[in-house]
Amino acid sequence: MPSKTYEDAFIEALQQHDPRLENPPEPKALLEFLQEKTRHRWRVYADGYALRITEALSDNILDMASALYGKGFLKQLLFEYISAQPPTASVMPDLLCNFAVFLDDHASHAQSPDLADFVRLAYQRWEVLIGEDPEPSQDLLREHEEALDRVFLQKNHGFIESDYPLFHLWTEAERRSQDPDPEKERLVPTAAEAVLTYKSSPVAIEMLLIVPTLIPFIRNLSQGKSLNGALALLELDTSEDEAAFIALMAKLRQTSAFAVISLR
Amino acid sequence: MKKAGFSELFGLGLRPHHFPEWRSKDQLPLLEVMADNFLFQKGGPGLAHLQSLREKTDFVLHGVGLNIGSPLPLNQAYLKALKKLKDRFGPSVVSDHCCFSSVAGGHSYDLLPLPRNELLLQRLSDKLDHIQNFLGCRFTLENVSSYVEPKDCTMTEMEFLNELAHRSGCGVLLDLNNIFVSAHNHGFDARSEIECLSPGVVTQFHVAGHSEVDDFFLDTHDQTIKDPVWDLLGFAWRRFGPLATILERDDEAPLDQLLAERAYGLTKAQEALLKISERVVENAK
Repeated sequence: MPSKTYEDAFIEALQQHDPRLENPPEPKALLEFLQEKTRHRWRVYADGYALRITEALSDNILDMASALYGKGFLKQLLFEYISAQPPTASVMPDLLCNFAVFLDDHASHAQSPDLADFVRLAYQRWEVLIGEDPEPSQDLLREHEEALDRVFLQKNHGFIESDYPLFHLWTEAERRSQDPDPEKERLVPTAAEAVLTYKSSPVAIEMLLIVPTLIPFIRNLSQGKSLNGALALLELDTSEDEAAFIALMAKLRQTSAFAVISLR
Repeated sequence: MKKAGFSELFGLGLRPHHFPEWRSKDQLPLLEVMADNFLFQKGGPGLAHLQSLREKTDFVLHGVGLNIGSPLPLNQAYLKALKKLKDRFGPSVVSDHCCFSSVAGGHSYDLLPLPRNELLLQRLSDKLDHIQNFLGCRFTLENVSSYVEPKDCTMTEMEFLNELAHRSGCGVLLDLNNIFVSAHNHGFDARSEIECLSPGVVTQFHVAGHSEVDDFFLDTHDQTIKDPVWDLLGFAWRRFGPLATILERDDEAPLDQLLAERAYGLTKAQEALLKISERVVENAK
């Protein structure tokens, strides 16, 4: 009597099956548990396993990454990821929480160094999208101008300071997903970019490019400082900086980026 | 109150790419919500769409991630999220599959066949007691399509589900395509199998399309439903009466195509039902 249970043997067979091999080894432990006349069909499950995961993730959460880096390339990386870290999350998108970290150390990093941050942004956008909805739109700053120490950035937001042109990479990916014509591909600038993501309504996600001067201000808000606290640390040296700050604040106010919290 | 008939209870699986079209319609059929797509969402467009659709029609709630057949204990976070969704949208049926999908070492994201024996009956029965107490409603389990058969089976799938329903009080979601596929793959008669289910245990039906591959049928949900599956639905309707019936389709098929298929299937299944009834009357003479 084998010591392994049928259920363990089944999952292990799926995880160890490599459909890229011409003659993958047979999962003897599993076949022992199956009726002889149906044993040959175990591969129906095994072939579908990696395919199902990589298809679902590259078509949904990582659809923009597929548009920019190529679906085949991304699926291959996802396949290596789930082979290295067999999935245990009950909800498939949760698998992606460590994918960017995996990519940081992967050989593909030399070829596409910006991919890990792009995946971070994609996963963060998904988390924000399904996170708490913002309060109905209102100008909180007008209502609470006496108490800016109670005004915070929505808790449900994401902020990434990347070494790569993350905002422009994303917008180019969106463009390519609408129109994949290679002749219309645009060059993406090479500068490092910081991106703030939050929801302005249950169905609308906002993604703002934060100019370098204002990164400390948004970083402070993102780390939990009140608007009052972040404003106290704000340094604006030029009139361009001031103009950028006024434009950013107007956008944040218009798009329900702030929330009033009585105790924090 | 008018009793709902086959047409009123015949709905479609709700898929995200159809949200805008559904929202623009005034009259909606019964819709089946895939629970796992929304379980851990706190907000966002998905829940907002569900809320607006719920104001126009009834839902049934169907999951794929309960993993009830696994030796692992039930995932309490999953159950809590399922209860929250059920309490918010008030579906008439809450269901998942009679299968396992994960063990401590990993997740398959698939519906894997169980060895149908006394040990598993007890395991599932105990878990169903907990689930039904926790959710505060009858829970329903669906038969799965399968390609392999575990050695340790002492009963057929319908015998197993029927016994489970009697022990735990759970319902059975009878997927006519799954039983058609499994009947072909394992060489049994689908109608005789369906007759193993007592009237009263079945709470819902599914129909879907499948593909033919080598020596077996593959449950793909990306094909038009075959006529023998519609005939089987008619057979089931005659035996179990009008119950929520959902057409499942998982590719990007346009909504108009699915609505046309639903209309076709309604006619085909009702014709099949009528033929069987006539045959029964004829035989009784």
